[in-house]
Amino acid sequence: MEGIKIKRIIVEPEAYSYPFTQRILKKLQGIQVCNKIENNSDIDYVPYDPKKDVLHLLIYKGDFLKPCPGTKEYICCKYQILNIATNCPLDCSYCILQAYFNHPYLRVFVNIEEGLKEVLKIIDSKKDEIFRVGTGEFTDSLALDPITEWSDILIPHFSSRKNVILELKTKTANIKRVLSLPYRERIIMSWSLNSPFICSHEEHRAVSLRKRIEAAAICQREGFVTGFHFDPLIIHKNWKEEYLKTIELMDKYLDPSKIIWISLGSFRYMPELKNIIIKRHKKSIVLNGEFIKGIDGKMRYFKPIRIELYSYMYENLSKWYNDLGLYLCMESDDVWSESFGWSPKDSNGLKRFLDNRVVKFYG
Amino acid sequence: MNYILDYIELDSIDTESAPFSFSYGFNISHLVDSIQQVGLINPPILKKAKDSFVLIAGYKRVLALKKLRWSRVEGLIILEDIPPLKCLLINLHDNINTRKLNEVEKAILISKLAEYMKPEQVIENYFSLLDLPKYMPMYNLYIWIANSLSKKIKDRLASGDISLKTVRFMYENEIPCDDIEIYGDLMSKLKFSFNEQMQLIEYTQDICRKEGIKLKQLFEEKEVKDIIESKSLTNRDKSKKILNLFRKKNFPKLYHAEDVFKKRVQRLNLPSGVELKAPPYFESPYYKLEIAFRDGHELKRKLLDTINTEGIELVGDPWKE
Repeated sequence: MEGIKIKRIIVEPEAYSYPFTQRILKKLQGIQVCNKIENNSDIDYVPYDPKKDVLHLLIYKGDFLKPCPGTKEYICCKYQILNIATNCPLDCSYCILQAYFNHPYLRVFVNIEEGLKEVLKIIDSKKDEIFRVGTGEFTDSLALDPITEWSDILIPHFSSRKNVILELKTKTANIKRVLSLPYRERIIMSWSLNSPFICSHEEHRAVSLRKRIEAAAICQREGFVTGFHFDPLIIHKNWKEEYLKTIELMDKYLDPSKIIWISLGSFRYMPELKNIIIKRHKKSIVLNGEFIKGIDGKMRYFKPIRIELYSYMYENLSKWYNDLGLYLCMESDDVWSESFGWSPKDSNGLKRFLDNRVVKFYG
Repeated sequence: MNYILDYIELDSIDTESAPFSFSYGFNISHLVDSIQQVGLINPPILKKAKDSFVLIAGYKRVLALKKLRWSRVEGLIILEDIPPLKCLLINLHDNINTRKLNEVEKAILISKLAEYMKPEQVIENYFSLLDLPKYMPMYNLYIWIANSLSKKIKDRLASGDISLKTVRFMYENEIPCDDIEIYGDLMSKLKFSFNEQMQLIEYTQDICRKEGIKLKQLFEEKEVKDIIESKSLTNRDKSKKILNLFRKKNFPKLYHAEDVFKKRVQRLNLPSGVELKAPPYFESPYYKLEIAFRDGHELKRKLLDTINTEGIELVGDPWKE
């Protein structure tokens, strides 16, 4: 299954009857299936062993559409998360999910089709509002797509509506299913990018930077609008040269006029994550910076370091193409102004900026 | 329980192995004084072994009596062959109602209880008695204290020189044993508050990770050694300087910014009782002005003086020119 190895499937009893479950079980025939969590070591979540080779099929009882958990202290883009799964088969050292969720396994919600109906009702009830929806916050949007076929379920519904976009954010090159579908409109294919060093040293199980950019180029040629996310930007040896290499690769393969937005965010983490990184990723360099406690309680680079990172990226990306929809993720008004020379002032302002990008690309 | 009170030769009591004792880090001089003044109030509890008596409870009392060169003691001798767990529990209840156990004693007791039952049972049945939260990580911590810490560090934990919080921090961060010894030595030489102990560990571990060096190497650096070995500084001054040095190494840009800001404010020559404060880590864009005043007239005068302070308009983020 394109690099993702599932060794065990746990199916909650109430999840069995769902067609989604049956499709997955058929697809993964031969893999051990159990119908409940079997022993204490499974129940006691150990963040140092997130059990990324176990697929846990269950019903999600909460709201499938949720606002991004941004904090009021910093400017948030007011993105909406479509909660189809939690945890990720990739294993990036810096991943916040290691500390964010207190349960192991790749949890996939089998009642997605029911949940989607509710989500679409909400979207249809607010025709004047633009919904920017993504599945790539609590999991990778495409890493499990060969198994779950999420793109088949989601894309037709989002592509046909005029007040919504669906962003599929990934660090994989699993684009086959998406490309095989006849939908292009309002589906944004996005990649998380980083410097070549960070991609190879910290983003375990993700495909190489080049493969991501090549996949993005294919999607552009196939008629998709693309997005990119430099998040987390990480200070490391020769970071300026390293990030330039990424921009050069983008220049080589991509058409910048087909990029709806590029977000920039510097590495930030909940204090609990530090220990997990030290224990799980002994060779990681992501903690080797000057981190202070931000106003939201998360650790982040000391402000002038962040400004230097953003200014550098802004300058070099803008040199490549001056209309890339560059924006900052979870930053303050003053950091915006100092790094970009302008600021959306608040979260509503940033939402307007990004909604306008949607209108510009899709009308 | 079948027992008798009888006089026993002190030499026949085995104080070497003391299998049911968990006393640690004690000083028997007060007990010696007390026995000298009023005699032995509570008899030790013993059981008969082959050629000697095994102490069940009263370890410190017997040591005190030996120090006082008593030749015999009236002891409570259990006649039944009671199982070891029961002996341990007798000692526990003999102690727990009269004194608070230190953290090392709790650790020894927990590790001894663990010989007879599952961890879950130790937690469920004895953690409340020991004033400990009932959860597995706490159990694991105490087992680690009992089995993995050196005597030197145990002594410091028992005496309170090193806090349990610090030890827990070392355990949770999997600090290597060699490093723990180095911290133990430093913490006993210099005086750190409990929060400073944690800061010291966090700063130095971060520096070692970033620079790819061992803690020993860091402490052999000249500027570190100069502070520790200084003859003119008090221990308290040394600990402050050491922490400051490690903070500077860890946060060079923040440290520089704080320094620049401090110097700029000093140069302003603000009226007395007027203080300009930077936001924590300069993260918020808002600086604060604090004015101490006795009445409105003084407030007005200080406000005017502050407004008219030469260079006040240049106050701002120190990394900007």
